[in-house]
Amino acid sequence: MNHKDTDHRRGARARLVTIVSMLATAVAAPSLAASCADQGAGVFLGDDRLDSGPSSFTTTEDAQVDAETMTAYCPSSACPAGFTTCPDSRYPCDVSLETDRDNCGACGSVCPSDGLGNIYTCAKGRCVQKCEGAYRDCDGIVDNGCEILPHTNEHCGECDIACTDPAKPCVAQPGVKGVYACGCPNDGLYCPRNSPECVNPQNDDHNCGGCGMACDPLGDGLPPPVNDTVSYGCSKGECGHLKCTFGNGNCDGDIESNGCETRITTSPNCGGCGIVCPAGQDCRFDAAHQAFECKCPPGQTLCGAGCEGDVCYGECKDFASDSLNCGGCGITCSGLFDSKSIASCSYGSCTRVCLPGWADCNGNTADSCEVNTDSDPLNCGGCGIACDAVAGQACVLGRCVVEPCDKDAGGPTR
Amino acid sequence: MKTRWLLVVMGTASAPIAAAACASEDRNVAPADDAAAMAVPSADASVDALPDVPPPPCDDCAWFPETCTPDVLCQSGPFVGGATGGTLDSRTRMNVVRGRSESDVWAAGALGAVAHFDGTSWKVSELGVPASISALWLRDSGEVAIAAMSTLYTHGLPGGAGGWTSPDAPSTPPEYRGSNMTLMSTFAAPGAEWMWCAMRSEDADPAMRTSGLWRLRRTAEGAFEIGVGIAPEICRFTYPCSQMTSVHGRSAGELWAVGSAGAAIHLTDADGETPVAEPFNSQTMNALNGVWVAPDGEVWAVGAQGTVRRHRGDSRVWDVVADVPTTVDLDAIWGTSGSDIWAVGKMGVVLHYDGVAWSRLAVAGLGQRRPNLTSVWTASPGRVWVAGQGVLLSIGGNP
Repeated sequence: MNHKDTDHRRGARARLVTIVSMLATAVAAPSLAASCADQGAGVFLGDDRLDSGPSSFTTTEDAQVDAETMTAYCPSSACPAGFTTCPDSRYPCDVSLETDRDNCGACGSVCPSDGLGNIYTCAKGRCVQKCEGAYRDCDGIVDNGCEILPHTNEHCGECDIACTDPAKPCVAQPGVKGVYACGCPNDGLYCPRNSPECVNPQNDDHNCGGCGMACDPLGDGLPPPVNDTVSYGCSKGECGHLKCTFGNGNCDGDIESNGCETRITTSPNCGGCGIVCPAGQDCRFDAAHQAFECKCPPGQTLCGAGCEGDVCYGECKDFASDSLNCGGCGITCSGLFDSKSIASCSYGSCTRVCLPGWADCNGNTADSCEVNTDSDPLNCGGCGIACDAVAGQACVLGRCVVEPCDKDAGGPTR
Repeated sequence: MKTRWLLVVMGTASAPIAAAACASEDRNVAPADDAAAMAVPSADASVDALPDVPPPPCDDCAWFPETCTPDVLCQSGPFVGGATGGTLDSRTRMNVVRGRSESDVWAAGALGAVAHFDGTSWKVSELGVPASISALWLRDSGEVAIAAMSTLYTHGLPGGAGGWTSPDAPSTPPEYRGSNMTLMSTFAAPGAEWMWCAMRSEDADPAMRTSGLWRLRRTAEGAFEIGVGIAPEICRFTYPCSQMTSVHGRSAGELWAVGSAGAAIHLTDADGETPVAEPFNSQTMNALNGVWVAPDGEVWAVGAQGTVRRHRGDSRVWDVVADVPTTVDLDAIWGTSGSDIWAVGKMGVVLHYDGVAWSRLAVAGLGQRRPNLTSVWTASPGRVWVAGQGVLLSIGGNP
């Protein structure tokens, strides 16, 4: 079962519970009192664990009753509306014709397979297409699915948003993953052969003043740099400006005579002149930000630490909540993920929770949450909660099904 | 007439209400009268101690009284507000409690939580890093806290500095691959060279799983070394030992290990070069989460859904233990003799076996909390510590 199926089931469950919740609540209290007074001899709400035997369901005084009309209810093997038993069913009434994409509207009526960019769900007994991710159904034709990934000049970002200016084609916007728009933002220059395609021609050493115009780090005839802490690069759209090389800073303001004389890889000057790391933090190169940063802030711990010369690196992880570093570097909760459960890191400990409608009754992680508590009459709503097997009572949405004992008062319909 | 349907709330609503209203009937699960003679409080005593108040709005309130009394389990140590030895955050899951004696007990858990009991009081021991500790190795001198097989912290070992330090990662055999394995628990018999590690191989494909039984030792040079317990190919193809949860034994050479799907493995030559595994029939497919071997050689195991199994003599088949007064998952077991055994599990369940029957004990002062209990260790009858989610319990709240 995928998550979407579960969502549908959850929705259906909510509707049914709403219908019966008042009745169930009203019925429980009086029945309970009777049960205790009789030391377990009484029967109520069809709960087999407290039941003295299936036959007791036939007695009016022991049967559960509708608080509003005093109608007695008995276990039923029939399916409520919207549910049925299909030829490949594992349990009675375990198919929701409204939400099961393999039996959508009728047994064996299978919704189309998911295609590129589109998925199908069963809603109210009909197969419904839904576009996935960035894909869009721009032509409105269901048969070809969500046919467009809107990264083109005809459909840029969304359907029918066209980029008509050749200088501003549809381009991935820098710094925002997956977002496309016409042209580069902030007076950026579109350079189709560069990666990324949007550059700042004012200071890009490889596209200085125009696409592909690379600066000569040695100055191309200018006086050679005083040392290897500096090189020539692009500034204000022109080459020939001295710049600090990786890991060096010009902290005394005199770049021409002594270059970038200060290492900005250490705690007193971390990523810039005079940027001092707080106590307990070290200066590390951050690969994601391409900059030196003080690590780690309170509440985080350094993982993957190492040094090459005076350049140290590593990533800060929150051991309390990071499911890939739960309670320690590289300790992952991912082994607990599967289609029937979710795992998370809770205050440094991995926890696994079964998805609604499923339960882990045997404690074995290998089979995950192996019990379908929505439909299994032996584990209806929870491990070991059994419906009336003698009566063939069905389990639907985690509840044992009942119907009025007096069929004239209204029997089940399918 | 209009057709009407009623989907009845069976277990989640009606059953708890029923149990609460009939709470007094639960006294039927009380242990035999001689329990008190062992200095272990009886289950019915704890229930009787409850004040005569209207039924509380929960089905298990009888097992969770508000007030700590000498005959129930209560919070102690670092989870008691204002504890002089330091406190731990109530969100902390304690994973293990073990001791050498009743005046030398250690507990450890999530995000660097470590505490020591010296016979008088508990004191928080600063690990220095927020690593979650899964197991403890209490050596003859010094302690090893284990976050993962490759992440150890040592304390008081010869040649070590004061406080906790992190040694170099252990050397590993070629068969060992640390990723996709979860350390569940460890055990080292007194005097043993090797500490055994029960691990869970997490690969979804059984054919890709490795061994669930590895070993760890400290060499003469002071370095740590991981060794093969049972070979990966044996656990992958021959015996069900790829997902193990617990190991215990009376001696260094003979141990028992249990794990998923009712795995029960007898280990011989356990401290030798090539340990031998032999599977037994535990008569369950439920996960077994804890094993403990009594001084007389009787073996007890607990697991999912209140599963309890016992092995005696030379039988190839474990005995099914019925009449266990819980259906929640039991996660740990320890004892001092065949008539003083403790088991703990989910939802604050604590059980005691007095040699005749299992009975449940109350846990006081938790309010509406029903913490999962993860570990138990006892030094002598009545002197027991239970660790779990935000709790460190002892009888009567004694430290």
